[in-house]
Formats: sequence, structure tokens, C-alpha cells
Amino acid sequence: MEGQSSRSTFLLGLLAASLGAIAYGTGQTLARYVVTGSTTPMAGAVYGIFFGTLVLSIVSARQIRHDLRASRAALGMMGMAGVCSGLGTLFMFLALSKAPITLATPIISLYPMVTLVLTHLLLKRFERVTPRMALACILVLSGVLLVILGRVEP
Amino acid sequence: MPETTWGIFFATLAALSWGTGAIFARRGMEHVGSGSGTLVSLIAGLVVTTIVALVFDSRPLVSVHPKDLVWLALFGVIQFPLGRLLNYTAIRLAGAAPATAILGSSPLISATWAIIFLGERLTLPIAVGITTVVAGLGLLLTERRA
Repeated sequence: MEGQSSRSTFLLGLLAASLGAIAYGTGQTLARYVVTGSTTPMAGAVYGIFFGTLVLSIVSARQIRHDLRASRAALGMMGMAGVCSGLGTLFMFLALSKAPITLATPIISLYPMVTLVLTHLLLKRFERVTPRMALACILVLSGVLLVILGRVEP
Repeated sequence: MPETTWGIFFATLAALSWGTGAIFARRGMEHVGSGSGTLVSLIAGLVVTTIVALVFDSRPLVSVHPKDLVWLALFGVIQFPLGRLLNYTAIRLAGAAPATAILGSSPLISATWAIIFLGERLTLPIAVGITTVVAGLGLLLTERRA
């Protein structure tokens, strides 16, 4: 029974990840449309995060009071996650301004491998990376690289 | 150092930053709800990106066209509350490694939109890539959890 519940939670997580990938993919398409106009990528990133923060503040206002009672360490971890994501976005824009998209994008899309390796090294107590999971990640990543390279104009 | 080498350097830093961010999120989400966790991360990210934008070049921040602001608001809502909330929820429920692998397949979605709406061609590498991603997702979905 517990195993079934654990599997349902896992599958629900994968569903959330799939919907997240759809949201990110759609957002990236919109971002490309906006920054090809007069808006710079840097301004796009700042305003995008600003509007996102504003909307989420309104939507989750009630829950925030309760959640802010969580330990400072946990909130610090989430803060660090945000700093890393913000820096990731900035480094991505810098990379795209210096190197051709054909070179920068495949390197950037290697980030799930970084997570996989760090999970194995640092989160052993919380999460186990099985060989099957590692193979699945490598397959997804290889497929993404093929899609990126397949879209490059000759 | 040549420009391209800097580009490779920054691309590597981007991958390291995002990859590390998922690890912090995985630990933080054990004690914080998805909504508040996402909000804390967004505020931290907003502070960092605004500081960097102000330091390097603040002019584009004040010269954004009002029409673009509407698109940026739409982008912000889809990418951040929605995308990141689902991202962190997925990390909390499925774990950092499998969730990030699926989230990393977002270029596949933008390629699909480009084929449907922008008339891009479905080339052989894209078709093979899509098949490979689906095979990887199939492996993740059939992963047995005790």
C-alpha cells in the first residue's frame, strides 16, 4: 500500500515536470519573440521575473504566512535555489551574446546531468540515482541535443 | 581570450548554476510549501538579476516599449509562477534527478511550437531526438519505486 502511494507520488511528480517543461518551452518561445524586438535579454529577464513574482505573491498570499514559519535553513536553501536560477539565466544571456547559439545551447542543456551527478554525490541520504534513472536522463538529454542541432539552419 | 571561449565559459556556468539550483530546491522543499518556496526563490532571483542589470547597463530597463511589457507579463506568468512552481513541485514529489531530466526537455516543446505555428521543418535529427526523449521518459515512467 505504501509502495503504491510512493509510486503515485512519483508519477504525479513526473506529470508536474512534464507540465513544467510545456510551460518553460512556451515561455522560451514567447521570450524569443519579445527579445527579437527592442527589448534586451537582460531587461526581459528582469521584467519577466518581476511580473512572475508579483502574480505569485498575490496568488499565494495566504499560504506565505504559514510557510514563513519554516526554518531559516529551509528558506535559505530556497533563496540559494533562486540565486542559482537567476545567475543561470544571466549566464545564459551572456553565453548567447558571446558564442553562436549552436555552441552555447547544447552546453547549457547539459544542466540535468549536473543535477544527476550532484544528486548522486550530495543527496545520497534523500534520493537514490538508479542505473535505469541515469540511462533515462542520458536518453532524454541526447534527444534534446538532437532536437537543438536539428533546428540549426545550415 | 577569444569571444567564443567566453561564450563556452558562460554556458558552462549557466548549466552549473541551474544544475546546482535544483539541489538547493530539493533540500529546501522538504520544509517549505511549493508556492512559498517558489516565491522566496523568485524574490532572490529578482534581486540578483536587477543588481546585475543595473551594474552593467540600466538604460534598457527604462526604455522598454509598453507593448513589450504586456508580452513580458505573459512570459513572466507562464515561465515563473507556472513553470517554476511545477518545477519545484516535481522536484519535491519525484526527486531532483528525474524531475530535472524531464524539465530539461523543454527545447522539445519549443521545437514543437515552432513546427506547428512557425512552419519549421521536421528534420530527421528532430524526429530521432523526439523518439529518444520519449524512450527516456518511458524508462523514467516505468521506474519501480519501493
